[in-house]
Amino acid sequence: MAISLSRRGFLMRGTLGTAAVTVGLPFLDCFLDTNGTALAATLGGGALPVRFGTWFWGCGMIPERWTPKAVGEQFDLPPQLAPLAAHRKDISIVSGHGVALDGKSNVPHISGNIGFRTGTPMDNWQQIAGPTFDVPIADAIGSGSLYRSLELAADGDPRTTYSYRSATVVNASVPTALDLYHKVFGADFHDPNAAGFTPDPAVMVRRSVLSGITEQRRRLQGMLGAADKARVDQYFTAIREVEGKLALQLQKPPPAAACRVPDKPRELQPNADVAQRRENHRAMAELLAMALACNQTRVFNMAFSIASSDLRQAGEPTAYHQATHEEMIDRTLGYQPAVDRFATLSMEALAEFIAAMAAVPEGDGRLLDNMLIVAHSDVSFAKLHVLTGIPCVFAGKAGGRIRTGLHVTGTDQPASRIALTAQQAMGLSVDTWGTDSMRTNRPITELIAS
Amino acid sequence: MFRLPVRQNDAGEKMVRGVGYPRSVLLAVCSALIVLCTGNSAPDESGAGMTPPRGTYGYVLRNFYYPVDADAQSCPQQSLGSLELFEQGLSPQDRAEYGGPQNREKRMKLMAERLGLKNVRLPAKMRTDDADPEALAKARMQLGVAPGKGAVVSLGSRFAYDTCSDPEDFPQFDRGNQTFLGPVSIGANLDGKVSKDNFTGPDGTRGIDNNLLRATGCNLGVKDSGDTKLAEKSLRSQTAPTAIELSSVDSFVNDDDVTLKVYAAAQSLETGANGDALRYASIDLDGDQRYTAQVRARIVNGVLTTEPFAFAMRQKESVVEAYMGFVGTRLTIHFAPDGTIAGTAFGYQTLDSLDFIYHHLSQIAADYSGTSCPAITSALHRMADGFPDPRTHRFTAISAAYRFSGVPAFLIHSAGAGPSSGRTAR
Amino acid sequence: MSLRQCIMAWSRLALLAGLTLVAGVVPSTEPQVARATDIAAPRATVSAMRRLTEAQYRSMIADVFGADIKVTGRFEPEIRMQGMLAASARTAGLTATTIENYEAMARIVAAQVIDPEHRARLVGCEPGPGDPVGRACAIAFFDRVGLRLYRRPLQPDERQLLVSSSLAAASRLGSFHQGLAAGLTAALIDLPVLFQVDHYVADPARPGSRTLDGWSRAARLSFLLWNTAPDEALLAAARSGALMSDAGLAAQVDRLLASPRFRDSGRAFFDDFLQLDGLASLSKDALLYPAFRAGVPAAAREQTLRTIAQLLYVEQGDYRTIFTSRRVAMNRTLSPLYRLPFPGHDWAMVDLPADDAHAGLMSQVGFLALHSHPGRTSPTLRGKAIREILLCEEVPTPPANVNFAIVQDTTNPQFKTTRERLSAHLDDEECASCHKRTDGIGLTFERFDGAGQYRTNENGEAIDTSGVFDKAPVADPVELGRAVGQSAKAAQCLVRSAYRFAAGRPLEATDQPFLARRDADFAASGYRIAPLFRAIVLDRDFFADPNGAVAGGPGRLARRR
Repeated sequence: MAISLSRRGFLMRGTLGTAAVTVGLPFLDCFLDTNGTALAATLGGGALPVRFGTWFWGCGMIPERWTPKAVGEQFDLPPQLAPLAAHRKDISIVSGHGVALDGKSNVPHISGNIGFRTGTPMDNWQQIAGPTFDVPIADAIGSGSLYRSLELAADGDPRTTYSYRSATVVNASVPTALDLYHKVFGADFHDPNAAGFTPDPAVMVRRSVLSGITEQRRRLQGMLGAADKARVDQYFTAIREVEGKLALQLQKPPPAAACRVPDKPRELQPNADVAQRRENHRAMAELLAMALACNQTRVFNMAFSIASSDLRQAGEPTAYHQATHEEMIDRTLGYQPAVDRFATLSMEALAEFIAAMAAVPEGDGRLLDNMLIVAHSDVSFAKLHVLTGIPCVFAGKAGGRIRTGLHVTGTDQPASRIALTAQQAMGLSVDTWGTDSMRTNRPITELIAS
Repeated sequence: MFRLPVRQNDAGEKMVRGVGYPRSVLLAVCSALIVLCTGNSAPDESGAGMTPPRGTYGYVLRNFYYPVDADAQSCPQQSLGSLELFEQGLSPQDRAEYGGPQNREKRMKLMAERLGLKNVRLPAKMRTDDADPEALAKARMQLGVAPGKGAVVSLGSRFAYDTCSDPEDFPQFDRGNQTFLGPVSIGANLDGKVSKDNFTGPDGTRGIDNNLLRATGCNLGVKDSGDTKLAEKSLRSQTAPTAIELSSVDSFVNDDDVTLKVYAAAQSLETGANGDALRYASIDLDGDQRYTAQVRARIVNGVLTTEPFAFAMRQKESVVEAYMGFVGTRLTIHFAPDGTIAGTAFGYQTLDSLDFIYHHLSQIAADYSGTSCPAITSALHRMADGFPDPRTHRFTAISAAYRFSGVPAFLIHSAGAGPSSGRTAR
Repeated sequence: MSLRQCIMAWSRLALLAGLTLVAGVVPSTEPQVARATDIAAPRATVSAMRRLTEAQYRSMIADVFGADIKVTGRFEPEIRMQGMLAASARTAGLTATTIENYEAMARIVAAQVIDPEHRARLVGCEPGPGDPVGRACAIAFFDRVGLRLYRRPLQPDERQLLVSSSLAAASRLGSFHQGLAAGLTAALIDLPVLFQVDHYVADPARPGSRTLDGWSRAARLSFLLWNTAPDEALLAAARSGALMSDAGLAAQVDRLLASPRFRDSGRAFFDDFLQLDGLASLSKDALLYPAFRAGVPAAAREQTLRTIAQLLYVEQGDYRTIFTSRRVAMNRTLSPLYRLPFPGHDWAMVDLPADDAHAGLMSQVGFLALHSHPGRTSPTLRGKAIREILLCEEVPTPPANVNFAIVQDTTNPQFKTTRERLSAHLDDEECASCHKRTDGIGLTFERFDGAGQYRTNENGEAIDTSGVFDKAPVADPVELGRAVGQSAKAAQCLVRSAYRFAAGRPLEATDQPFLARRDADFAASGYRIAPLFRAIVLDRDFFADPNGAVAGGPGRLARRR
């Protein structure tokens, strides 16, 4: 049964010369197979959906202690990468790619992240000219599941998010494990493996009521100026999406063998204390793994810490970010010890995240094998807000599309190549990303499995 | 029993002995005087200018304990609890089935059966030190316990008849108490004499009187709670703390004439984000006169010492709700730069108040703390060494040495609050 | 419109939007009075839609259905653009999650409205012999409730849609009331309900120009001055046309300003202006600042708002006094941080003792703790906050490649006090250019630690509280408060922020003459808040169409005369 979903599912890029713009287009029904699941479900040749997500940590690393010396498959794991040793076969390290400012200012902990995620550095998020690269991926593969994407912030602040559809449309984050549980596994959850399924009449009513909120508003648009037409369009797009979600809830969800409904996590007030942060992060990672396995979403963005990482150890007056600037380089060690500790802790958290995805068996392998995680930071050496060689880790094989177990590097390459590689790996037919010096049409081919 | 000495006058009003006025008037006047003298007025609506008057400083205690730093020398054996004595008295067959640490719960049940111990939930919670006689009578009927027997236990939620509520009914457990033999203790030479059961102070002073330590120091529960390192880290009587107010303080270095008052707090201790007592919190005070006392003191070279006086403090800890009564006791206080205080109380704890604690302990608490109420109360009575009763010539109090620490606080006196009903029926 | 045309329109929009935003944030070379407003750039069209804030939505539900109706759910965080949340209400977008959240909240509200305890009062009718499916009842319900929620009478097609979907739902679900709830849910997420939409009509007083119609005026006045939807009296004034006349308008404005509900808008304004939302996620080191426990950040926010409400709204005092006042609203949770006794009931106004170091807004726990690090103070952050928030100045971001090796004294790495540590900022020319504007102010507050608690020394060394404000020395926070309060910049910043709050958009060059008049009036009125807002809303251009004359007509209107 074909479902007619008039959903805005695509973004066109790069067709208008220099300005990167976002365009809402009708989502074409032909992209849906008869089960209403999106095209991306058949990526990699298997029936299992391929998922995508970003994992962000702030304040980078210390290059001499993070970047492997050897390139290729026999790469070493320097001290700050040591926590990832257990996942060596499932990850690829990407070094040497950064953000080119083209004369723009380097606004600390902002320009770098904007450049990495949108392909064009800017002075603040309210000026970005295009979406972060997770958004087109979510638009392409996210429409078959209840949530187009899930944004998570381990620090407990819903404003901590780096997923932007545009300068004015931000995807706010779910701040705690308990909130995530209520959202995904709460009242609206239908266990995909549940025996029977009866469409809920209340949901039918809600959907038909929403479908009534439409064309009359078009009359309103005639009276509005150009600025408002866009916002009214946004409103309707959002209404349509919610309607689409309700439509999904009216069908029996396809079974998901790996899905196990998790336990409700305990209430936790996450804050800057690194132990608390990791606890909230771990709990969220486990819930997210189940949300993915249960096909509630296919795209996620996890922010472990904000760009100017506020992580701290209890009892110490100086937090991570402050330490990056104020801590002196130890004469004997040759680096900043507290900064080194926090950078390593961030990698330990990444390892825990990857482990949570690897812990879920799926098909012949694990959930991790059917996903691509792009983990990255906003700077490399935080003390000087260096934007070259921003650290990046690919985790997961994306259903066979991505090669792992490699260290790939480049000489002063634009990080837009990373964003382009990720989008192409997820099946988007996009051939360029970024603007000006960061404009590229070359993915990192060593990472793409042929 | 815990109440002010009263008798009835012809009008049926309860008069305080030795003073010519009805108790109610006296208490009202006392409250008013206290309020006026301290200047801490009733909270007024505008709240303007609420700082305490000059020279007045409030503190709330975060702990109050007697240190027991035992080593192998001090306690050749640990004092035996009633459960252990019961186990020792079991026949070999019974020992096989009910003996050993793995059968502890079974053994406790067996002991209760064999000795006719009882324990029932009360329909409504009551204050241990303020129990309603009717409710008690009803509970006794329910348990088939004779009048005057049994006690309110478990923070007022249950009524029990056991070896602690009525130790005199279980003489078989009046043995096995190990006297604490250690030579060193904090404290004071209260009687001016140096005798063989006295301690030597940490600074070498001889003749230190601390028979409370002698009598109870080898009891498992007492040793645990007397471990100085742990005690300093933990909060005691957190839900029923005691407050101290100093007034007429002109100098924290030398001041000849300072007044110290003790109060019960009407609320729990406020704690900070680190779990420890919060400094400068505002603490509501309870007007209960049983826990209110006043004494003169002086400060010499930064240390405050009071005259010896009598006072009582509420004590509420895990399952025990009781009070500590002191007579002829001096408080000493050291002031830290951050406003906190640390001090000692050397003097005599009343046997009545110690009996009260053990009376309300409950068999379960006794068993888990390795206590034999008959034995320990016997030892306390035997080793009592202060305040002989004029009629019986028996000592009514036992020498003791306590430590405490506290944080600065704003003490909010309640306006017009009278004492609580003051009944402790038995 | 064809796809290509659509694409072209979008690209134009994006360019214009980008330019506006870029124009808005260019830093001025000298500290200007108004931040980034004096730019002559071509202006994009101003949106006629402002999304209701969380507080406005909640108030509206409480006003229409009663305070016992619970609004539970998650409102998305608002974006702060150029310093004020209100300025972004006209541009902030929304996602499907936003609508989902509103729909969930709406369902919860609707379920309560029709439940047995409430339906008699809130619905007041049901199907009966004369009205078998309840159509008449549904019409009456939506007409009555719709007027309050939509802030104008329902249009026929709106009424038709709400009634027919309610009845269809009722039939599907087998319950009239549940059907009504479904329709009410749709109303509660409808675009004109979630957004203030400005409708313009020809201005009878000025031919060729357009002005807000009566219903839009009622909404704008009510949301601005009471932070809620218009009440019956204001709606009646809209209906009668009274709001289109100067006298009628003034009468309603004066009524709104005289009411205690004006304080609600004061809360919203000062919460936004002072950027107190940062307190919601503030945490401090538990070991270093044990008194800064869980309830403290929210209490600190409440303290600042209530103190301002009392001084400026209830007592209608002089704005400048908030920088020096020794009176503050106190509660039990905060009293230990001030080392004061609890005043007996929460939020009583307390007179600080004469020798107390706290004085005014800038030494309240909320302000000090918000602009500090979790484990220590930050004179730089405090100075920056005072400059940017209270004086509307721009402090440039630090250079990315600042190398602290220059400033770290290798011979004595242990600086005892923060002042000593920061003095290195001022020795280096490059650092000093910005830091002398912030540190000189912030260092005055060093006797208040990172949680806002008073202390006299740091690491054993006595703390020096002397500072500099605009080249004049100040000895302590009290003197600084006086200096800041008396400065023309503080008053002007308040005026401009109030205007941005009222207009819901960033300032432009053409606003200057209007603002200059408001500055003068503000001073003449004794720096009182109510007359300032009165002057703003009664200005004849307040309701004028900012996008010029008739759409597509000849260019922009010259707005301020």
